[in-house]
Amino acid sequence: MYCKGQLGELQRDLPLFKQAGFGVAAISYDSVAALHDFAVRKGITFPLLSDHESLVIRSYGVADRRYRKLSQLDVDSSGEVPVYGLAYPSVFVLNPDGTVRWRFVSEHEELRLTAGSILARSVGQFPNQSPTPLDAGKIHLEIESTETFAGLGSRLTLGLELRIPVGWHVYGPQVGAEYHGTSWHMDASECFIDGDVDYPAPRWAHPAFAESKLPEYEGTIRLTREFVIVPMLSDMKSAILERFRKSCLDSDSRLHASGAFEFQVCSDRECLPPESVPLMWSFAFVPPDRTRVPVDLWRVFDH
Amino acid sequence: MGVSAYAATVPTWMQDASGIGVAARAKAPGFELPDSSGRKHSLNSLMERRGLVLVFFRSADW
Repeated sequence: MYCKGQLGELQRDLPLFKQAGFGVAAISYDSVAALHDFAVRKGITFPLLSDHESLVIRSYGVADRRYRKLSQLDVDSSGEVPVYGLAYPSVFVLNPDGTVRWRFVSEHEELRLTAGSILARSVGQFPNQSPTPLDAGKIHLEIESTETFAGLGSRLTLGLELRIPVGWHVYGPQVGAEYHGTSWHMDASECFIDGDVDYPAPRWAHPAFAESKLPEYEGTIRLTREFVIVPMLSDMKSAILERFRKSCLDSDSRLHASGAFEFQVCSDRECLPPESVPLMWSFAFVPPDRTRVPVDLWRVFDH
Repeated sequence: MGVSAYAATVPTWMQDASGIGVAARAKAPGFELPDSSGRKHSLNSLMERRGLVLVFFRSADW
């Protein structure tokens, strides 16, 4: 049911993928008829490919290893489905010569890269989300996200863009304790997990007052980190979704993530006092799509 | 320089399962499969100017 959300996101961002020069296609073990029902219901226009006997899924090495012939899985309240030959949720971004440019295979069945994060990683820039500027004194600071909404198990990318005026710099995180390096932390939450910060490489400069070289950032830089909404539905029960709603969402069904960005702005002659800017991201929550195809199109144990 | 030492470590389940599936830089296997209208597509026919985003998903049903 999480996959269906990802396919909807890909459809939403399809013009951006096309504009960037990428084709988009998705493969599953579903029948042509089941895919047709879904494509019509959700308005999917890129190819959903039927690999009913999982031959291509196996040739890419992404058939879920846990399942054997006649393995079945209890899905919500609608009964058991055959899962032999099922694919791990995977993304392969291919170069025009057919080699794998980058890939992400999720062994955890509820973990999905969002379409925005696939696009950001493929194109090297965030999709058309409007960044939020923050008051950060001398520097211009904007918070970004590859998505403005998220579901359980969504893996998206958060960003901070810093524009530092000419003649000034901030220090990289590698700078010693005598200086205030940039630091981005997120407040702990049971609702999401944040990844390591990806800092760009600093310029190592040797100012007259320092004994050794110092890592500096100048101009415009972007820091990013991965961000996963905790997937709690391993047993896919409605009660667990309700628990998530109670503990993680506000009355408008939004999830909030907060943190702080710390830095110090210096020139060759002076340093301004260190600053700490509060950060806040907010996402509209998208519940899992529980709609199934009509019963006569359900997969049966025929392999 | 291990910049990641400045932040919490990402749990394994959140990361790419690098031991599973076609590796980065390897050649992706070719195929020919029908879409939801029964029309056949191959890796070559889906490829565009800068490449192809190929997604494997569990099911469009459940």
